[in-house]
Amino acid sequence: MESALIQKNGGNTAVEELRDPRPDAARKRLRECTNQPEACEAIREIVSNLLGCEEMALFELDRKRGRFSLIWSFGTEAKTFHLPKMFVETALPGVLAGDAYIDEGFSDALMGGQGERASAFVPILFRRETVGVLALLRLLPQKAKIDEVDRGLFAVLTSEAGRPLFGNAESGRGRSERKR
Amino acid sequence: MKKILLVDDSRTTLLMERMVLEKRTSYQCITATNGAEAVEKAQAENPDLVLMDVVMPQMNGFEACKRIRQHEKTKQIPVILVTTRGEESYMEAGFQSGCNDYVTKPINGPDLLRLLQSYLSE
Repeated sequence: MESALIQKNGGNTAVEELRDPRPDAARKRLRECTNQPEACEAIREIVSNLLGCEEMALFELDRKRGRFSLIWSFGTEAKTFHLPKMFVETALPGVLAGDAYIDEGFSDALMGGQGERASAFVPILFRRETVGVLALLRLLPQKAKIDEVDRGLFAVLTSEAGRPLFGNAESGRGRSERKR
Repeated sequence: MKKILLVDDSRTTLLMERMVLEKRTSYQCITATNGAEAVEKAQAENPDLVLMDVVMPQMNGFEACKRIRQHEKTKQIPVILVTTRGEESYMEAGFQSGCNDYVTKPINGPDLLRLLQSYLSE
């Protein structure tokens, strides 16, 4: 994590190491979500504002059919979207094991029919199993590369997004129980 | 105590900015979620600095910055625009609106704090 020594300023600011707060902010934001639409909005905000990517797509794993299905996207044409051959051949084993795949070289991770390239595939876990994958496409022009803080954000998305995205039945039951 | 007006329609961004400022400084934070609300709060609260997003509903950050500059009570308040839009045309529009600084997201906590301190140091 990036850190910096903060200078004391007229008693206003403590002198201490400041850990970048983006992963903690992302974690807190996701924990406030109770359903899939809220979680998708939180993911969009986290990836756009804290990471620097405004093109993304979320896929759900259908274990019976052995494939991922698109459930939401932002900043790109959803109809033409599919996970690329490269994902299955290269990234899938790691993603199923819960590890993010980062395409540092933007090699051949083509998405859909528009020649769009993926920067990363982030597994989404629920009950310790991969239940989805978040594909990030082009980074913002001012964002040079995926860095350590981004990897921290990936870890938060992996561990925290699954419950509000795919645990709806439980969270819905929880809400109705509280109402009674 | 210095007072900072944080303006963004993203709850996540406001959360991150508040985590930096409220845990690490004694700056008082007030928030707004669109440009119109920012203009109102700038007049009502007279903050020492405005940290504002650009792309927002109802009124964007450029228009809000112009309006803050137009009012006698708020025209001297430093305004920093912080946005995902890094295109040159957006930056030019930002400075034409009267902002003091234009910063692109993502911004990390230490950089944000250094930036604010450069405007708020005695």
